[in-house]
Amino acid sequence: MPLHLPPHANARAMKPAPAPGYQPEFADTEDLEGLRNIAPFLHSWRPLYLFVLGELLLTIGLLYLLGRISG
Amino acid sequence: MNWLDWLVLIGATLFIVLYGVWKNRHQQGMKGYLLADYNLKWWMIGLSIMATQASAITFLSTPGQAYDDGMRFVQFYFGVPVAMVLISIVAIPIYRRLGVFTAYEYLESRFNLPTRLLAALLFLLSRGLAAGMTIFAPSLILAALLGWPVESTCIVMGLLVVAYTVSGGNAAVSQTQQQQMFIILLGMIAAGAMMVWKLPADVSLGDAMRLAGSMGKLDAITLPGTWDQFVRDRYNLFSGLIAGTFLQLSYFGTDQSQVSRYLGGRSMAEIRIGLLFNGVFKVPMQFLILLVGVLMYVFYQFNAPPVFFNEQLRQRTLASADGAQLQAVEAEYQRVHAEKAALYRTWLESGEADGSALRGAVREADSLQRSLRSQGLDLIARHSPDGKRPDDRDYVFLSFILHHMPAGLLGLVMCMIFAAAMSSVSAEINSLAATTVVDFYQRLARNGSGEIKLVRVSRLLTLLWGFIAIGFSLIAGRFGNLIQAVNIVGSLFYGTILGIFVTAFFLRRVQGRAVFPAAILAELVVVACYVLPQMEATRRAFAWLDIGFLWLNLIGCVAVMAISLLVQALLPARKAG
Repeated sequence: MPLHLPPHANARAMKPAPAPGYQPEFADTEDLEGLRNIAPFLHSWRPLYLFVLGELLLTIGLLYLLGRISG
Repeated sequence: MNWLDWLVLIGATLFIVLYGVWKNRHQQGMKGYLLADYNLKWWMIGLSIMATQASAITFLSTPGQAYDDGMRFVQFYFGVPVAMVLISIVAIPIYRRLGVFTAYEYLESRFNLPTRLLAALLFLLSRGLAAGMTIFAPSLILAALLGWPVESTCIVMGLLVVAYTVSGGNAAVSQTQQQQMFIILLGMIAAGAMMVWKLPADVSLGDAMRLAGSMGKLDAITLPGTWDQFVRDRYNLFSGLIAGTFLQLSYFGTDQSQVSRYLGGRSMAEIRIGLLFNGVFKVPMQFLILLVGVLMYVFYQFNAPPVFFNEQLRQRTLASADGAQLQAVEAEYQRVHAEKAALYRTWLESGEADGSALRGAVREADSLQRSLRSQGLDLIARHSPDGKRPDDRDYVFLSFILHHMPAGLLGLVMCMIFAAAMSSVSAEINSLAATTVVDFYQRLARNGSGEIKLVRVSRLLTLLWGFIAIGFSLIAGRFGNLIQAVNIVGSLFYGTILGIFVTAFFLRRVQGRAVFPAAILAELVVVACYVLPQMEATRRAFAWLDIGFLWLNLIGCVAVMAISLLVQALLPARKAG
């Protein structure tokens, strides 16, 4: 997916402010092309998000066990 | 500190500063100065985010926190991974596609100019004060321990940061943060290794962990048993996971000092992976820093600790009329400590899996030692600047490295503290300048300014914010509880700012004319939640509102959303009427 880089700063300065209530388009949550450039083995962001949250749960579990065992 | 320590400290610090100035001497446009030309890779973003959050006070306080209270402080960071995932999914695509320089720019496109300016102003106020404190806090401690005047450490640290931040902008901040993070990690590894090495020969690392566990220092997860504990205990599993997530969402998703760390990413994917990198490594890193504190606790079970770790204040008390009494308390404290150390040795040598009888004796000795320390603190409190019982947790780690680190490594750890302070301050003054230029100067100027002029103004404002931060750090010492006051002010605003952004992201029907008054009302609700249980006149009636700080973030956020929905529903009806 091509990136939409911002226009020139000066041009932005002269651009009129968007109308109140303007809601920018919600981008899809997957920037797969960029992801594949960095991690070719991944085809979706979901495993990465699940990995981060899973690591948190595992850490909490291990810390709980550490307290129980050592105490 | 000997010549080798000074060589390491001055050499490494100057190298980072000169590298930052030299590497980024050709920065030209606004995109280059404020967004590093969209050239940051994911690992640079990840390290930069971590380095910005980890100020010197983090490395000074955290081991002391573990020494005193064990590992449970780690729960404060449980919201980070959740926040990183949510920000990656929701906020990054919007910021990136709009090509904003600051997070607050988005609020104008979504709501209106007043809402943008309100959020930017709240950021400038809270972060401007925080930047001064980021310089002042480590300077105060270093000055106390090294015997330097506080003003000189503040000025030296401030000017070094200003030098490369003014010249190189965002790219210089990110690039120097890589080296600073390297030094920080190296320093923590050296400190951890030294703790283990300094343990008595007959005490293994396993023994140390067993001993720490028996004293409850490894109880990292605390589950509240009652509603009171749930809302009032600052660090428990739920306050960390639920309220902590709101705090981290606000800090990483809407605070420009963090947002500017990732807006300059090469692509959306690089930004997301940089954020997730922080989500993966933040909790383990904090765990390891706390573990250093726990090992330090074990070290001081076999090596006599001072009754009070702030040597300057202790000496002041010893020189006073209370000196003889303090000396007597200290002598008794050391006698009990020697008994306790002997009990520990017997317990470890007996190899008992449980050792409940010995453990009981150790706990009794520990309780007696704590009571003696308490007596000592009462004496020292009479000579503290504000007359209150002083807190010496920030001094525990520094006292250890000053008295027990070998030459060279001491310089490295001092360098780590300077590096941590500089990495946070540089990001803060860079983001303060960016917000002032983009959200106020560029937006409100009647005539469009040229690119070169805007960069010049940005440099000038970076310099100005740097001097404001140094100036504030110089007078900060005159206000007793300023560190605490600044932390409170920061916590009071985060929920409201987050609420404005969450409303913008998810409540599509809410418009600017509803969210602006809602934000002001929500802020009043948050302030009331904090102030009413504290004031003498209202304390009893509002005791039920006395909740842990972290929950204020959730209250502020939910209040903005609820009130803005209500106001939005009322507005058309009024119009029609």
